[in-house]
Amino acid sequence: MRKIALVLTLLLIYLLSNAYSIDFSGRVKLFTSLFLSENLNGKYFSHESGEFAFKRLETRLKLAGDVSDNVTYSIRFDAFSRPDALFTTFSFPEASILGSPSNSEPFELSLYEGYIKISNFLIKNLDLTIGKQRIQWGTADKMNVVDNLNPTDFANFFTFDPDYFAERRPQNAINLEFYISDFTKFQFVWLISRQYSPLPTGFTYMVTGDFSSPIYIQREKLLLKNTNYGLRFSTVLLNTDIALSYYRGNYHLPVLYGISVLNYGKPYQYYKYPERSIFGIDLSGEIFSIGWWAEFAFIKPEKIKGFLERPILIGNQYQPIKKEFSIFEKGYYKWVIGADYTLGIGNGVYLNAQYLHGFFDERDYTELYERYFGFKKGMFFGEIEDYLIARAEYKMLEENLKIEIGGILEFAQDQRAFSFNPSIEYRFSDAFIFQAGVFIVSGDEENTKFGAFKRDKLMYVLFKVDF
Amino acid sequence: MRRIIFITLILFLTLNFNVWAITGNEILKKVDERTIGEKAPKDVEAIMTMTIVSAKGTKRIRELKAWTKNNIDKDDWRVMKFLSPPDVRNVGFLVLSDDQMYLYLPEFHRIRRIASHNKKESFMGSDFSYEDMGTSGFTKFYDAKLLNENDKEWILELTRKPNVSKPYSKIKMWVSKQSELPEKMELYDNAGNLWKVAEEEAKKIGNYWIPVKIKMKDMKKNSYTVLEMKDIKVDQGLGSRIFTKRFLRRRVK
Repeated sequence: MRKIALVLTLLLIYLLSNAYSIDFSGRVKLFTSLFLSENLNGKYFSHESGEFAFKRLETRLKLAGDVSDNVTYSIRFDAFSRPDALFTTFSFPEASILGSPSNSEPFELSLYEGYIKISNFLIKNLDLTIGKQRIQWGTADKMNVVDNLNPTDFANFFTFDPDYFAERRPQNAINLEFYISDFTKFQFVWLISRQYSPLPTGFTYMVTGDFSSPIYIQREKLLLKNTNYGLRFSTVLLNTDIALSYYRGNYHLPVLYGISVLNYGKPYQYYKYPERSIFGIDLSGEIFSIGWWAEFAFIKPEKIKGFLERPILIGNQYQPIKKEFSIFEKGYYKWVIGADYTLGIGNGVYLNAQYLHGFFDERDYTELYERYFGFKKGMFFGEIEDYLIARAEYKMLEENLKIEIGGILEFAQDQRAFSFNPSIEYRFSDAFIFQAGVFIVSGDEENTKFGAFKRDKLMYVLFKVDF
Repeated sequence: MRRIIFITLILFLTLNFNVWAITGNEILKKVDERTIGEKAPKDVEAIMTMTIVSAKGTKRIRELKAWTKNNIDKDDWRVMKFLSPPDVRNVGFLVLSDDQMYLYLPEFHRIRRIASHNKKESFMGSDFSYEDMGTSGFTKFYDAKLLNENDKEWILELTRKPNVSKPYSKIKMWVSKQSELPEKMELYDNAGNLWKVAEEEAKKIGNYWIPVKIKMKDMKKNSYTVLEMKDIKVDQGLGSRIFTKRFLRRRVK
C-alpha cells in the first residue's frame, strides 16, 4: 500500500513539475561490493572470499523551484532498498521513517534535504535559508576540520561506497548570510537541535572491542540551551580566500564516559555527546599555478568526568568501587593542508595531496582516560593521528574514462598502514556512469585504524543514471 | 599645376603609407578593443549551446547561461551556469581573473577555488579549455606580425611573449576587416604543432560585433565542439553582484 502511495506521490510530483516548471531531477544508483579475501574471524567483518559485502539500490528524487523572484525551495528524497548500513540502528536519528517489512524487502525513504531560501530577506544583502540543509564550511578536499555544522555519515563510511567517504548529513537549521560586500560575508547558523552522526550497527566494538554488552546513550533533552550554532566571517584578502569560524555544539560521535561491571560481571557502557567549542580558520589560494588550501581548528571540549565501576573483594565480600577521572582536560588542534596541480602529460594528470592531523572521529583525551579505557592512536574514536591522503587522476578516451589511483597513508604511534584505492570510471553517456574500484590495505593490523581491514580486501562496482 | 600634382602625390603617398603601415600589433589591438576594450559590449548575457562531437561522431549537447562583464583595463568577469544535461545542471563557473576562478558543485553544496593550472584542461569535456572560455585578450600575451591581407581580412601570426603562461605558443589568426574579430585561428602547442582550429561567426547586435558561433576542432583528438549563442542581451548594466559566489549558488531558471 505504501509503495502504491509512493508511486502515486511521485507521479503527482512529476505532473506538477511539468505544470509549474519545477525542476525535477534525480538519480538511480546500484552499488555492490565483494570481498576478495577470506577473513573468518575478522575484527569488523567476517566473510569468505567472493562473498558479497554490500548491495544497495539508491534512488534520489529532487525538486527545486521558485515561489517568487527571491524565494526558492529545494527538496530531495533518498530511497534505499536494503539500507543495511544506514538505517538499522533504530536509536539513531536517521532511523526508520517508512518501510516495508524489513524481513522481506527492506526499503527506506528519507527526506535528505528540504529547505526554503529567501534572498534579500528583510534587508538587501541578507539571505535566509530555513530547513534541512547542508552547510559546507572549509576549503580542504573532503577532509575538512572546520566543517562542523553537519555530522559525518559514519554508518555509510563502512560501505566503502566512494560517494559516502567522509560525507556529511544535512541538518535542520536557520542559516543567515549577510553579504557585507560582494566577497565578504558574515554567516550565522542556528542548528535547531543537536546533531548526531548515523552510526553503523555494533559501533561499540570499535570503541571497546565489546559487541554484546548493553549500552546506555545519554542524549540531552531538546531544550533551547541545548541547541547548537555557528558563526563565520569570510572574505578575500591578497587574492586568498580566508574565513574565520566559531562553532558551539555537541560532538557528533558519542564519547564513552563510563563502564560499569557491577551487574554480575556484564559490563554496561555509557556514552554521551559532550559539548565543544571550535575556533577555525580556513584559507585557499594559488602559488605559481599550484592550488593550495589549509584549515586549522582549535577544539575546546566540555570538561566531563568518566568513571569505571567494578567490584573488588574486601574480606570475603565484593564491594563496588568507582574511579572517576577527566576525559578531556585541555583544548587540542586539528589541521589539514593540501595542494593540487595538473601535470602537462598527455591529457593532463591531476594530482591532489593533503596532510591531515586528526581524522573526524579522533580526539585528544587525558592520560588517565586512555589508561582506563584503552584508547590510543590507531583505533576508531582514538587519539589524534596524522594521515597523508593523495590521488592522481587521468582522463582518456575523450574524457569518458577516468583512471584514479589514490590512497591513505596512516601514521599511528610507531606503526603505519596504507590503504590503496585505485578506481576507474567510465561515462557511457552524459547520464550513465559506471565505476569500479578496489580497497586494499597493508601495514600493521593491530595498531592502526585502516590496518584493521588488512584481510578485508574488497572490490566494488556502481552504476549511476542521472535524469 | 605642378603644385597640385605635388600635393596629390604627397596625399597618395601618405594614404598609401597609412594603408601599408598598419602593423600586426595594431590589428591585434583592434581585436582586443572589439572583444575586451572600448568597442566591446559593457556586458553580455546569453544562452550557449555546446555541441561536442567525438572523433567517432557521437554527439553530446550541453546548455549554459553565461554572463560577462567587460572591465576596461582589468580582467573581465564571467559566470556560467549549466542548464543541462541533468548530471551537471546548476554547476557554476565564476572567473574573476586568471588566478581567481571558482567552481560550484551543487551536489556537494560546495564552491571550490580552481587554480590556474586547470586552465589548459578541457572545459566540461568539450574541445574548449578553461583558458579558451576566458576573455583575457591577446595583446598582453602575444606579439603579432601581419603576414598577409586581402579585401576582407588580415592574416596575422601571433607569437607568445616571453615568460607568459599561455597554452598556445603560436596563433595564426584571420581577422575580418568588417567586424575586426577573428574569423579563424590556428592554435599551436609548445612544440609548434597544430593543436586546435577555431572558426568563428560574428553578428552585429546593436552597435557591437559579437561572435555567435564558434567551432573548435582539436586536431590531435579529431573531435570538435560547436558553441552557439542565442538570446543575446548586451549593455544591460549587469551589476557586480552577479559575479559573486552568492550568485554562483543560485538556481538558474
